[in-house]
Amino acid sequence: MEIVFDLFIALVLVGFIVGGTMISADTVASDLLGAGGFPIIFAIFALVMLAVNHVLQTRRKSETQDHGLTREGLKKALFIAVALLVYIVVLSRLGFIISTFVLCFAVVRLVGYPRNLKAMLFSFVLTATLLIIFGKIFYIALPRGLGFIKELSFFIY
Amino acid sequence: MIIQGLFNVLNPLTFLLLIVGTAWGITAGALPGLSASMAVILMLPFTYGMEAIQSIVVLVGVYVGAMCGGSITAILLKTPGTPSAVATTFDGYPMALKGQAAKALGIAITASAFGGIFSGLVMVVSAPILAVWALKFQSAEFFMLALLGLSCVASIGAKFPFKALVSAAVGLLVSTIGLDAISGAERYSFGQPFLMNGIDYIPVMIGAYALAEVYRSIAIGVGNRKKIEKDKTVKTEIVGLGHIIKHWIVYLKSSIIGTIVGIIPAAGGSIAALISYSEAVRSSKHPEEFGKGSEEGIIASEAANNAAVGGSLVPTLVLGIPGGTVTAIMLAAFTMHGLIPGPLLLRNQPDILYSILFGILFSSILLFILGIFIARQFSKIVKLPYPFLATIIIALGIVGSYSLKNSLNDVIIMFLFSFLGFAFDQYRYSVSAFILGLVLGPIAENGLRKQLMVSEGNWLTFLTRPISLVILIITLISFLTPIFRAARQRKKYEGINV
Repeated sequence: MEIVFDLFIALVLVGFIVGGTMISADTVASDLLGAGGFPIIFAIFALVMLAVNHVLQTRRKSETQDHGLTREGLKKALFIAVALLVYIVVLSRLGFIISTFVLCFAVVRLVGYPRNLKAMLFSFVLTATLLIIFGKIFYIALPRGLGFIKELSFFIY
Repeated sequence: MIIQGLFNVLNPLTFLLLIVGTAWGITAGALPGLSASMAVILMLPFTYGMEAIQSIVVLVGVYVGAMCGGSITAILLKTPGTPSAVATTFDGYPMALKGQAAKALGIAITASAFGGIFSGLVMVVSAPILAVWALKFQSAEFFMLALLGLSCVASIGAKFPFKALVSAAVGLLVSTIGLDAISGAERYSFGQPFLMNGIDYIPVMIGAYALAEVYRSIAIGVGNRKKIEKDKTVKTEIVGLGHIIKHWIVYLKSSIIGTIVGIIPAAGGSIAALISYSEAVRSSKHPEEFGKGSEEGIIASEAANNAAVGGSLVPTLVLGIPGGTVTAIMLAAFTMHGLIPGPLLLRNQPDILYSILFGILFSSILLFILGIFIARQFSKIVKLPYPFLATIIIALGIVGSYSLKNSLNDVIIMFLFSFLGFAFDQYRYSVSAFILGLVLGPIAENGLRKQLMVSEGNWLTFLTRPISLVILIITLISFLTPIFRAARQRKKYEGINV
């Protein structure tokens, strides 16, 4: 898997190089590097370092690191990432209160807390605390959602 | 003048307001997504009705408190509360994982207090000279400063230096996303408006550190957190004078670096902390301990970022040029009260300088009392069962990222970089080096290109400018020292084998 990730990084670096060559060259006359120079230089540098590291690692035949990851744990982490993704998608539609409450409850249960009632209570308290601190004290314009949810939110924050 | 300055601050109402300001600063600084500048801005309206000196002293207290407060969540949750606490995360969190959260917090508070007091004294003694010197800093010097900050990459990734260099380079590359500051060209933004302003490093830090750590803890079965939870009452273990004497070199050097970098306009606490950390790694007899819970790592970061407070006030008071965002807000406070910072103000009302000094001194001392109390409240969070703690970290991270620009895009960035942080951690790349590259990239690139433009393409300009040359030499020493050290170690062990 490490080699796959290294290849991914290499691909990203190549992407930066290619992208760098396509950046507009219009700039001030004495700007030697231009807008694309810096990214290209560092992308090439990084590719070289990546290649050197790969050669050295192959020579050393370094033992694979035991990450200590468990299959079950990875699955839970993945579910949390999915929950976060869903949260980001629905946040502007459902508003801060509903989305955050549901996310908090989902995360607490996904990580393994067994009791539903306590999880719901915790989610409610956390959402309310964040709303008060950020929405009311710091005047952060938290998402309100759409339609009647938005209208309702004005009664709260 | 000095006595008048002291009496100004010891006025009961002023002192009470200073306590409130410092407490507010620590609390706001501890909350991710709220920076020191936000804490000061939010306090500003409350100062309208105060007297001029009261107002300035309170804002100074908020500034000092916020610079210290960022270390609390950096240590407990691996989420720097302010950008200037990012380097505190490198060693503060590993120390907390070893069950030494109380000590880490104590060191952070002590170092913050030391740095603040040091820079306050320097500010008073040498403000006019330092301000004039700071104006000599131009693009070349900024470029060299950025290089100096980046020079610790080789030390940060001691076991896998090439991967650390790749990580830093990736950070530098990510920092180029957006509109080019010099030519206005679009770079890697794919026509997306939200990418045109570039990628803010705060949501990246929250994602790559805090969220990635949540994924990791869950993936390994949360065993890692047990050591922090075992610390039933995470009190703050205040380290005494003995600790300062034991590590006096790091305390002093970090405070000097923080003060000097703070004086340079637009440099700020985060750059001061990173450069100070870099220097601490370079000069340490045990650089391999950094990143794994080294006390000196925390000292270097916190002493420097709080020392930057006094430093940043130097150009503001002496020349009327704000040293950073926070001092720009303070300049507004001065103006609101009919005071115009500059040489005339210092000549006509010298007690203001001393009032600010005593404001910094007392606020730094108050860190011990208020910092302990507030840290204890935050540390109750880590005693919660891990499902609750993980949820708090995720929720704080989301709101913290969103709060920056009231934009969901920053939350998306936090989410995406959480995977990068997780993968970097798994495959032995360095998240710290990546963040270094991301923060220092714009300074390095703009400094380099602008200086070349000003000198009409003459690369020797970096060597002919004395300050630039000095910083370059220090950078080379900083970069080469770990390499020579490693080579010497290898030679030593080869000798033993023979």
